[in-house]
Amino acid sequence: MKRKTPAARLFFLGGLLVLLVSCGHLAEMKKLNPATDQVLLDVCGRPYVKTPHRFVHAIEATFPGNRSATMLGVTVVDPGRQVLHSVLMTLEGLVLFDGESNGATLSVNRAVAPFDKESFAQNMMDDVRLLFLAPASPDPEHGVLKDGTTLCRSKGNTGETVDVLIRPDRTWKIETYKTPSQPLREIIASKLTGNIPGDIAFQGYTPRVYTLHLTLISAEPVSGGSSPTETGEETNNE
Amino acid sequence: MITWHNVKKQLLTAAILLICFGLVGWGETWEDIRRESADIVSINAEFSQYKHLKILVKPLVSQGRFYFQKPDSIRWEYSTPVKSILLMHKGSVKRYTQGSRGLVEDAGGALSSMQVVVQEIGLWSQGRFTESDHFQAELKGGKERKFILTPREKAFAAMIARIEIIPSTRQKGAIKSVKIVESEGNYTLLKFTNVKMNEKIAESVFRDAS
Repeated sequence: MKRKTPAARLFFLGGLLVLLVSCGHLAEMKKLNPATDQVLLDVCGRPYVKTPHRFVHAIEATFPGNRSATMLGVTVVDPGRQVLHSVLMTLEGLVLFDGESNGATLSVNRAVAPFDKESFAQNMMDDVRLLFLAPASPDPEHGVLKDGTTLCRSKGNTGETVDVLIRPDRTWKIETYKTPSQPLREIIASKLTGNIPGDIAFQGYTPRVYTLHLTLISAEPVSGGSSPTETGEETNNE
Repeated sequence: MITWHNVKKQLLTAAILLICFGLVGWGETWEDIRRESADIVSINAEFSQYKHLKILVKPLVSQGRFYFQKPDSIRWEYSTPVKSILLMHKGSVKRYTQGSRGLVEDAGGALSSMQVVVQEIGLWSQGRFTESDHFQAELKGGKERKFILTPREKAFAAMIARIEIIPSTRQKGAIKSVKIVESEGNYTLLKFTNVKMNEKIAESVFRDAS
């Protein structure tokens, strides 16, 4: 009998590991029907806001070589119109990036180097969309993992698989991948207040590896009728 | 009992006080301002930063403390919403930010643009508004005096349209507020309070982040 070389053995073990990891997601999947499965669809949609909201986060970005930078991010999300408006700025308030997206079109109001590349704008707004808006594909598949985690699987805009995992403690995780061994993004949300996470760990795998750690500073519904007198704390008294 | 005489007396007293505070403020020309600021050795002040953006209904407020020691040592420290410390001392600029790994030094990137602003703050603190390589200064009178700084370089103008500085009318050499205008509707307003001048500040304040 032909003996396996160490390299072949390693390859086999690696393949087994990938299979085992992907098996972690194996569950009996059922296509959800909006007419009869509204409760389950609501569970699948739990990570996403249902009405327009404004979020302010402190964002700690870490890149290869252990380089890191902390910024402030403001995002207005309108799920009804599928519109996002995001501003990224330094702690001192200098705006580095200001962009708007409705899914089909992306407009950049301001971008300062190194945030002025078109690919950055597209990737950033895609990441923001993944974070705040439910995948556009209708009728996700649903299953329950052994540990009680609810798995909702749907297709993203570019054909990637989007897995939303709602844990029994209501915290959630979103994974996107081309294949189980080709991860694209991983989002872990924790410290929930209502359904809004106080802490989000965001891992990007393409086009290069990066990590974002988002800490919620504020979250508020956008009514459109807020009074400008809310800026009254800026009295000019010395 | 409130009489017209008493009201007149109080109004007169208030007017005199106002004029006196006005006189304590900054000089009329750049030369006056430089001369008056020459006495400033150190500044220790609290600040509130109001970030106005079109997508915000109310400004995003950050708070912190500012230390300056002549000739060019600065500590610019945010306490909220994110703890961050910018140190400028003996020619080196470092920034530390509180993150998931604790208070760690930032690497590259955003530091360069802020380094310029910090250097400017060092110049303003000494009344040397006209000595900037990056901004052209203009003195504006009227109801409230203003120093308007506009970028000399195109690259800088792409980030900042202008800076408006309002001097304190109560404390000679002190700055009341700084408005950094990026574009219409987007600006940062810095307001300084509890300004203490010429008090001793330990060198470690400018050297150590902790």
